[in-house]
Amino acid sequence: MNTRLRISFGFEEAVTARKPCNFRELHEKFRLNHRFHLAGERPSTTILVMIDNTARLEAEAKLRKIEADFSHAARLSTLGEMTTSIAHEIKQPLSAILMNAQTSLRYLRKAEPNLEKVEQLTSRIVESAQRANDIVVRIQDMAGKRAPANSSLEFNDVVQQCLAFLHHESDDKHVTIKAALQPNLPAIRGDRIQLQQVIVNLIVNSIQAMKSAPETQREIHIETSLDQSNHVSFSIRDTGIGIPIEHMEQIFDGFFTTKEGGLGIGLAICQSIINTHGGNITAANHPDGGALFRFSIPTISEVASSKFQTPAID
Amino acid sequence: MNIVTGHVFSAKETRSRLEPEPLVLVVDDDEAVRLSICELLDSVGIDSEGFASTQALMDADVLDRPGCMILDVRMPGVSGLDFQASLAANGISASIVFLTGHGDIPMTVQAMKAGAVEFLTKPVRDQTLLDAVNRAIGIDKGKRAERRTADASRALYETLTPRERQVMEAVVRGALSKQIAFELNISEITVKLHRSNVMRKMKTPFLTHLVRVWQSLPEDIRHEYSS
Repeated sequence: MNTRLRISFGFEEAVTARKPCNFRELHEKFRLNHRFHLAGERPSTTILVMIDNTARLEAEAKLRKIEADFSHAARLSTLGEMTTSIAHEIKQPLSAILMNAQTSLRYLRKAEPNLEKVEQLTSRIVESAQRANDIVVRIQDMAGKRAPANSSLEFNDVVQQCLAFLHHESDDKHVTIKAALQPNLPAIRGDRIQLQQVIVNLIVNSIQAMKSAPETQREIHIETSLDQSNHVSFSIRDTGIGIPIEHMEQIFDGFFTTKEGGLGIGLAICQSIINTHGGNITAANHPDGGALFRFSIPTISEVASSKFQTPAID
Repeated sequence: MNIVTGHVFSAKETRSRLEPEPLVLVVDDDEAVRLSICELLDSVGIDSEGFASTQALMDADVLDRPGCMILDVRMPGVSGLDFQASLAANGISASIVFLTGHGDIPMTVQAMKAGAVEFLTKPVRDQTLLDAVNRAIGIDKGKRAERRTADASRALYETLTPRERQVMEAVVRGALSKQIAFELNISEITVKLHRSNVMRKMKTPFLTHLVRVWQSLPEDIRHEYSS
């Protein structure tokens, strides 16, 4: 069989990039500008196959956008619940900057300005300004609308950044967070902000679940480890009232909420993010009381080996 | 005795011989904030010491010097407000200036009712903080002076016999010797004798002074023999 398919450059590009293209327009161009075989060639048969999957690609893109919008809405909702502690966190370095600047002025206005002191204070101002900027960047990361990235990540770093982010929130609610992070976990591949969104969401849920617990008994235990199936696993347990058994089935459903003013998308988004990362998330009650959430995601080496096993598509 | 080379005390040294220089205890979990407050105090010559938590302050061996505390309201562990309450419960009087990132009205009311000198919100102007600190130090010095007087009066009072204490209570109440004699069922001469002993032992030349000393005594002592 001497089968040959020649297609116009524009069409080929659209197909390989899997971009939706205007089929009718391309078809027109194709008909006018191209012969099916080159001069001098004598092909026995020429088969041309064109599949119009514009609609499917458009639908997929729409779905991805809706997913991104929802996860963005969930991030904003979490941030909204944390405004007081975010404001407090930014005020700390600003307060130090203002105080150090005023003290510097005092030293400069003295009859014999103490320049050594001023230099020391000014370098502290620089440090605090840098810190304030870092906080703002971190919040912008969380609040911004952005396409998910897919990079290599140290999972414990991701967790630790979340703990830093929530430090004031947990202090404010008198919650002690105890973290046991297993060192030297293999790297994972994914989107830092999305994974942080999941972790922050789970921690904020736990903090809220302990609102009515006595202040001395508000604890969150966080653990990272490598589980039996070689997935990096994250678990969080609180000392709250746990999950009512009748809610266990619906807990990851969209728009299911027991919180007043809650959207009910937090855990649904968490599940969708973890699934996109090739992992899964479960909820349970701990035998000693309190809710227990656990998720695990494959490591980079696993993703690579599973890809290798998949038969080549071309 | 070498009068010629006799040492001349500077005003400051004379003062420090009587009472140590004030010390400000700064408690804030944020290191940058804590350092910035200590630096400001240092720039105007006020000694200070910083602590990351109220627990760290309690664990530290802080010299008993006049001064005040600058407390952040919310900190990990025991918060500033709880610390203020526990100090009061243990009978420790401290001049406290609160400095907080977000002060709401109930919080301010609680702090001020419990005797805080000032409740300031971050970021604070340097002069505002220094004014508050100076006022707090002044209040603490006043309290310490009062306490010294009370201690001295108490020491003198403790040299009195029970009968003399009874007579003293009656005298400062304004009772005449005749009344006291009747109340205690003793002779008027004996009352007068006790009364002069009280004046001598309490080191007071005048009755008005005796009344003042009496008022400086702790309440429980004053009620010991009240009828």
